[in-house]
Amino acid sequence: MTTSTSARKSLQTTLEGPVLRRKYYAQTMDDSAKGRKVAWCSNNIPGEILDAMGVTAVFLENYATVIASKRLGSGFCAAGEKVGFSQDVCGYARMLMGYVLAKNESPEAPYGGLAKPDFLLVNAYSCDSRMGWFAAMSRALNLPLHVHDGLYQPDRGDDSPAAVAYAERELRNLITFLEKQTGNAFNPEKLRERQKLARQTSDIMYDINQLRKKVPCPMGAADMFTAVWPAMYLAGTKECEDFYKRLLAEIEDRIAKGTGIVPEEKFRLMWSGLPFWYDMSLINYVEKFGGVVALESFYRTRERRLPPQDTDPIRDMVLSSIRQRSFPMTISGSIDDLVEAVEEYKIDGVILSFNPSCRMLYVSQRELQNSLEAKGIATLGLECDMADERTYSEGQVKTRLDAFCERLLAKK
Amino acid sequence: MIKEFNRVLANRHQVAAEWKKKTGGKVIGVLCCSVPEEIIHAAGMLPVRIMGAEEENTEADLHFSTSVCPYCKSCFDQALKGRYDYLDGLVIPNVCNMIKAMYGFSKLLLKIPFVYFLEVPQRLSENGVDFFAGELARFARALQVFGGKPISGQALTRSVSLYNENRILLAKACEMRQKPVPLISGSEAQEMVLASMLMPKEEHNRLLAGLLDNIGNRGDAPQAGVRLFLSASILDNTSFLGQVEECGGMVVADDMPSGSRYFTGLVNERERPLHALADRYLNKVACPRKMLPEERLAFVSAILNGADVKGALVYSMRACDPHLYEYPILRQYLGERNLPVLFFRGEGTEAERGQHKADIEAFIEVLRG
Repeated sequence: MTTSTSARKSLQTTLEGPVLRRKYYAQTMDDSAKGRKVAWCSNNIPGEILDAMGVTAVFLENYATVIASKRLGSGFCAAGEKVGFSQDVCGYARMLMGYVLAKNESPEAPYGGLAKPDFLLVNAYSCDSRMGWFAAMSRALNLPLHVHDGLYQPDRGDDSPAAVAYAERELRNLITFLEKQTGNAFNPEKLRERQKLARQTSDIMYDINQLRKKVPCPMGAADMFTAVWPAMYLAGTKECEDFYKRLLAEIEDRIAKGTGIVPEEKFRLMWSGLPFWYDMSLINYVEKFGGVVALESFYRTRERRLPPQDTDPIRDMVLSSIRQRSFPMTISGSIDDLVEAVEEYKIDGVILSFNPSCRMLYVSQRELQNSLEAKGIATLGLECDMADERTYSEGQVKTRLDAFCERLLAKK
Repeated sequence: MIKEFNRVLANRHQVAAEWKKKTGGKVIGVLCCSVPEEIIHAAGMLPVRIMGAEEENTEADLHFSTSVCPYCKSCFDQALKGRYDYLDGLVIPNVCNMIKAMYGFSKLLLKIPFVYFLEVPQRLSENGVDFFAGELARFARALQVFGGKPISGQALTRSVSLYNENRILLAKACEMRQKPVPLISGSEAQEMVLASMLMPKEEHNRLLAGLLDNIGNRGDAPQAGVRLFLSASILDNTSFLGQVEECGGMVVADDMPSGSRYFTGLVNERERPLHALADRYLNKVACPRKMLPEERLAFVSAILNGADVKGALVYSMRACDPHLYEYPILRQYLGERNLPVLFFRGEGTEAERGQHKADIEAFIEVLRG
């Protein structure tokens, strides 16, 4: 059993991340108490639209990582399994189904639990788990569920009128649903403001990630896995933008002073896939060898945001998401993306996490590992669930990390 | 005549390769029930369902980890072993995470000239039907370019009609397993459905029509067993249903992609063909990936009506999330209909049979009282 499960952060600004998160959850409770409508959402539901309609969004996958990081995952997962959800399904979903359906069997919920939902919103296009999970929750809680679809486009970039029209209609359907649930009118001006701020923030994130190429590493994954939270859940707010401005300034300062993560940086690693939220201290483990996990593949901002694509904020949202190169959707795209990052960030080795219950990412990991090895890039594959710590064997994982770090040092 | 379906299934690669040699046409592999085969047929090509095999995944194991969907892995293993070398094209729809990932993997690792990703909306809606109809038009254009031949409106109308006829015939044939003294077994019914996915529909319709004309005189009718309902994710061979029969049971009603989901729901022949196809393939294929529980349970309810089953089997592939999430809901629903349920977490391997056999035997004993 590890004594410390959270990662040791090197930057002062990062320490503000958990404070913002706690504040956000407290705010959702407060909103609910004041009668503002609360939506439980899957990731990829556009929070900016909800905000523009006076709806408080609670993102359940994020709450799942909070539970997992407090090492409560197994208790909640077991509760979810007890009500019939297979150990094979997403650890996040099992935890939340345990929270919803088996409260008496579950541990005490972090932050005093979640704000009571009025309705549920799920994104249909990215992950099978979300659909099944939210559909089951909708029945269990007897709450309305809106399914929001979008385009998958593995080859990206199809902005044909039909594709744009479909995506646009889906967003407008979401707005219609929200109008019906809340009685509030959609405020396009508010959405436009949030989009503007979100663009600015995303560009700061891009700049930060560019600076992380520097040697010694000014900001590693131990910080970024925490610091990415505001960008995911507070995007388009001044609070979020200010956080990243401070983070950028601190990174620039560290670069100017030549401050790295370890006293003498001997090798640089990348983390591919989701981390093991219940033991984030693992990210720091390589530091005793002079190593640093300099980059994480999953949350990386890959390019500067496109300027507004249309004066209508909904059409802008659709066109930007289609035309923007974001997360790669095919195995070839993922390989290229990883290899490019290895070169640009001067990475010596890649740790690939194999999270079996996250099918979307898991399916590619073996081939990514094959491709990296074929190019002479050292890799280590670790198979553990991202949320359910019962799948984790700390001793075994660390023994393998020891051997991996020794291998990298020997190559130097 | 039933033996002919078995022959097609057992020799599926040979059947497709022979068709190709004889006609000079192209063979197009499809994954999942969401690809309108009618369009491929109207292009003068033969659509064949991609299926795995009960053998070790020696090639696919090099590219995929242990917990990847056993069905997708097995299909890919077969392709990597060269069993699908006769394919000219492969169509992969936007359905579950595993199947859509196969698009990128197929382009990277297989040498198939035409690999097409069919964008399929992920929820049932009118907006989805309009968009999907447009995607089907785009798919038809891609096939025309690849095949070098136009797809005429008449050809498409004929294909729609031919496939509807197949659905009607399959439904009638599958009803034969529900007779008090069944005229065909559950595994034979599944064999007919699987064969339909692998051979020219004209020929399959001819076989089915002949079978329906003569089935009343069948001398080797199967033994009646304890009547069961089966809800399954992917079962691309008849081993499981055969085993149920060996244990004294009989699947007389099913909810599976290699069963009733393949033929339930006709294409509206009075509508514009592509729009009608979009409506059928989006809204009437009862897959839990895009159908919500209320609609799924309505489908199951229709299947169960009149089937007079004594118990239910639920078989979900290990990594099949849509079915795994649905299971607690389905179990509750079946329980409310006083149907005992036996659940299987499947791997699709021969090795799991021993454990399954013991479980099925015990379940059937309980049902017999």
